[in-house]
Amino acid sequence: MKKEAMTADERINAAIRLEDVDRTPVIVGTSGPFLCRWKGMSVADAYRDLDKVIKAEVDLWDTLGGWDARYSVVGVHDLSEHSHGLSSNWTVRFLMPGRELPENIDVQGQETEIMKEDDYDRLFEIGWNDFYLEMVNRIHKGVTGDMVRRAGEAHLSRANKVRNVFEQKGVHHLLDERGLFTPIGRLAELRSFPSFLRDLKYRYDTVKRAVLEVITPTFRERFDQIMRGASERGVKRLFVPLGRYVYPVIPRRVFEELVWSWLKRNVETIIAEGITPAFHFDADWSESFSYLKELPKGKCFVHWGGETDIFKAKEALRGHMCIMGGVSPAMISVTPPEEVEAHCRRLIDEVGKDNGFILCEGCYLPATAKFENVKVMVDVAKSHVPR
Amino acid sequence: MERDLRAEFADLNTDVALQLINSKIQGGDDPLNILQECQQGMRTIMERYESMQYSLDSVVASFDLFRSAKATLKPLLPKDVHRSIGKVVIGTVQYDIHSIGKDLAAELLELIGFEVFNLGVDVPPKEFVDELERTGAPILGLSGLVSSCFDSMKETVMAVRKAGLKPKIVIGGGITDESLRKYVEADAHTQNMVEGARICLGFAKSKG
Repeated sequence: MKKEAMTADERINAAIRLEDVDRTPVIVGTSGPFLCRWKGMSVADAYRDLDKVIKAEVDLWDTLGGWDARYSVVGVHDLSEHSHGLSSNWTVRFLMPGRELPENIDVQGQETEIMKEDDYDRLFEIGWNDFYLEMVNRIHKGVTGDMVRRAGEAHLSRANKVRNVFEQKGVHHLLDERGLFTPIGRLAELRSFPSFLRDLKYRYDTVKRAVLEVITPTFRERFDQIMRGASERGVKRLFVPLGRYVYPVIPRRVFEELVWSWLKRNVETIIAEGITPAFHFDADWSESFSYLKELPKGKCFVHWGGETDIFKAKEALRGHMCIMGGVSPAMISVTPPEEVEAHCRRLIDEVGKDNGFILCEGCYLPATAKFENVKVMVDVAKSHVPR
Repeated sequence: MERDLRAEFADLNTDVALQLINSKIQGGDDPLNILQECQQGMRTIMERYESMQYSLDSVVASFDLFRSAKATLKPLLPKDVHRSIGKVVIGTVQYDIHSIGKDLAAELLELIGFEVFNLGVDVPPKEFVDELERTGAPILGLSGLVSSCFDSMKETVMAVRKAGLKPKIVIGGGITDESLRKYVEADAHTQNMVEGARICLGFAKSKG
């Protein structure tokens, strides 16, 4: 491996700013299930014993010679807490490995229509916080606001435990804190996707009122709370996720009024604080790249899930926004290492051209990922000189 | 000027389309022909989605219109006649419990004229094999959303081939891509139900 001229943090910051780097930065978004399987444990063990997960991740780091930052600010799930899914703040029913699912099958969320069409009136009547609790109680009886808060704190406490271990090793983190999901996303989860699509078609004014007049003000307060003192807390990069809700999954007008307006305003606030928004976009943004061009150049980066063609993304965002990702969950799981290697070289040569690229798995590192492929991804980033 | 049912359907003019259906029934039109016009309207909707004129909400709304149309036509349709363009067995593979995308895809396939056998979720390979043998379906759709579907899809395809069956196989879901298609040895992959329907139409056409 050639001698590196930059620190990991310098390299990542340079990539985000679209500046030259000494080599392509690489991130491995380790997951408990992957780590446990690598170590011969079961996927369910990832949710039973955090200390084993931490040890496995330290072993992976040491075995691979490290990578450029530890990814996650997302909390770590635990079998006891996840009986409610509260630590994830989702109104879906979670099926857990070793409990509802076989020992080696990773957690899955069962999305169902919890909120009915008539419930919009209830939302308008009592506001988001109380409404959310009522909806949660439709699938988990007896849940209180205090339980939700404590579950969230426990979730974060586990994440910080892991974080502290790595900070003591001198490893820094890509993401410091997480921002909020979108108001429309929370509403759509309650309705379930097909019902929400129907709401958009048949009762858009009601949806718009719910999102803009009821949910957004509550989410705005929470966002402002997150931002208060963020710089003083040392937050450098803030996780900003968005699920399905991009044009043309939803109509352009809906995207602009209910998603982009929220996202753009928050992003501008985050940037004004000197913090980098770190997007995580799961859906296909091929028809929506132009929106990202509205954001300041070199101030954000986006981690693509598997549905956006990263090569097309580069063509659209070259010279404007740093891109992260490229090795899909399927590829890192089922493809022979020599093909993963060739793909990573191509990513570096093409998506890394003109700067602004961080090599990483797309979306997340699944339990099924092969260690050899993770190693290849890290090794190629450290050694490949772009053409 | 005579209104065009296919056009009204494709424009999602629900009231007009349903009135037209009733007029045509009263005028003595063959209910199967009326149904076919609705299916043609669905295909126009698919084209409009593919060309970005429509978003998914319009596609889902078209399902509702079609259900209303079918409810009107069903009592008039011969029970034993199924003017189907082909049969499709579809299901979410073993160890995956996700169903939304798969069910939307299944509904779309049915509305454009396929006879669909939806096996649900967490379907073991043997059930797919048994259903393919029972129905003689030449097309198999395997859905998955999480990484546990990778080996389940592969095992399903292997079981199908081992049984001597040769359907065209399409894998679908947000986690599917060309890498996975190659690994499981499927014929196609898609992350998009409209594209999936288009692929199945292609399979049906190539079979002749």
